[in-house]
Amino acid sequence: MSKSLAASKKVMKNYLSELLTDKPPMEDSSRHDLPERKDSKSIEEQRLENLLKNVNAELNIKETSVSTTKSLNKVIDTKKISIDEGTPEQRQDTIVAQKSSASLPPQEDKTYRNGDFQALFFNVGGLTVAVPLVELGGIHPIEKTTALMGKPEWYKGVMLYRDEKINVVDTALWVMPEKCDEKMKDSLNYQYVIMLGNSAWGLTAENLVDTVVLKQDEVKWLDAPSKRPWLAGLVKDKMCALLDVNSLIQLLNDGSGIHQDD
Amino acid sequence: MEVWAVANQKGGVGKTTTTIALAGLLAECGKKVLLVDTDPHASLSYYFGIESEDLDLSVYDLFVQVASKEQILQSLCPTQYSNIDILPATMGLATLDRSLGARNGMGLVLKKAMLKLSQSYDYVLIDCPPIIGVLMVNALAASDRIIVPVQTEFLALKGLERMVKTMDMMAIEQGKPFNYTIVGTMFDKRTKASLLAYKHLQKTYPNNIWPNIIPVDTNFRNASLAQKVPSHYSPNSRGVFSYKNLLDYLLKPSQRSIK
Repeated sequence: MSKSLAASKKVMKNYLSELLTDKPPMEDSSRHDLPERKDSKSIEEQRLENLLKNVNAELNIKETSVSTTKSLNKVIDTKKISIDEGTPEQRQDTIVAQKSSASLPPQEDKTYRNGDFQALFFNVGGLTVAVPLVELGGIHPIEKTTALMGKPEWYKGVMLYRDEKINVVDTALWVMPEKCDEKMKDSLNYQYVIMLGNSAWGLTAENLVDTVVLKQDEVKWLDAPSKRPWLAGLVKDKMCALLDVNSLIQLLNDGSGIHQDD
Repeated sequence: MEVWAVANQKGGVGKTTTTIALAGLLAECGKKVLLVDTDPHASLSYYFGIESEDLDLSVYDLFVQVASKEQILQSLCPTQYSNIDILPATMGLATLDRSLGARNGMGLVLKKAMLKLSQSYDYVLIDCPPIIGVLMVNALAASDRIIVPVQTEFLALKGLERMVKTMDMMAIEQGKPFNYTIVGTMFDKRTKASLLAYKHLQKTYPNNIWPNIIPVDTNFRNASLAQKVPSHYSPNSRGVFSYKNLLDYLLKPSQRSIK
């Protein structure tokens, strides 16, 4: 048996073993019977909450020494608008926390660059966009967004989803700002928010098209550094963009539009 | 209650058609049947006219938190057939591998949920996604029997090899072998490829191959357009006749024990 085959078998064995080994009672307490589903949080949400808490804790120490970050502007902005829940300080914490995740180094190893991988295709303004499933954080039905002052036009607003704040990006405005005239804006019918990785960023989508298994040679990969770091490649068959989610998150955290000079 | 999973790691081999055809025939025998759609493509749900993205609850919710029997029953959708219900899929299922991944015990969620419905249905038929992952592992772990449709052509045979390997590995983890039946589908007697592929299946899997085939039959496609189970749409078609034979075979006492 070749080494790679043995390694593959081992990975598979571990994967199956974890899935089929029941959780210890302590861990299982995160999934328990609750009278109302809507009021409870998913494991994923709890994980995100913990992540944000950790980042917040880190930020409380660092904030005294940092004085020139964009987050300071956000504090002023958020004080100008009124949002029902939470104090301004709490909101500031959340926004700063989301910002800080941007400064994390991008994950260089793209797991989907080995072998077949699944991608979700979605539509926006007549354009089809693909996201590797391994980099997809979730899909939520779009709900009311609250716009924030001082944000780029493509920043649609903050959406509350089960107590989490999601930064919603108007995908059409981000991807094709030059084509987005008033007529197009009026015609957009966003229905979903596609979450990017573990970030708090979500892309608006009009329709979910399909999930498709892609082979490596079905994508024209753009591996070399380019002017479009958000683009992992082009799906040849459908001639649509495959997003590099980590790079896109970084651009969004930096407040950059598609041309990186916005 | 018996739980059957219809699974193959290859797509387009007739999983959904087999699930629906068997469900229709079981329902005609007076059995109460629950269909579980675990494929994010939600073809099974769409077959019955369910726009799953518009639903409040689906299979996805079972994975988000433990559901009581009442909550699971709330997630079910009726079909036009009084004794067939469906637990629909949503596109969100496609994110489960990433969000819940290989967490301990996540492969047993469906099994636990189905146990809660053991008094409500005679049969549960699970339509699996065409890829190994948390959903397929859940479906296999929850099932008493696996039906593996295989298109009678050579590319599909490779997919079957992978599927059997997956079941072998899972069997080791679970400490018991799977009771699985390979079903040759889309058989076209006019083509040499179909004949050769079926012979290969007989030779390679002599203990698990169903000794018959499901032929190519346009009535399956027409039945799906009409959103009816094949046995209702074209009860006398050769495709339905073959599925009746398959069901008789699966219900034989000798076939219901683990090989």
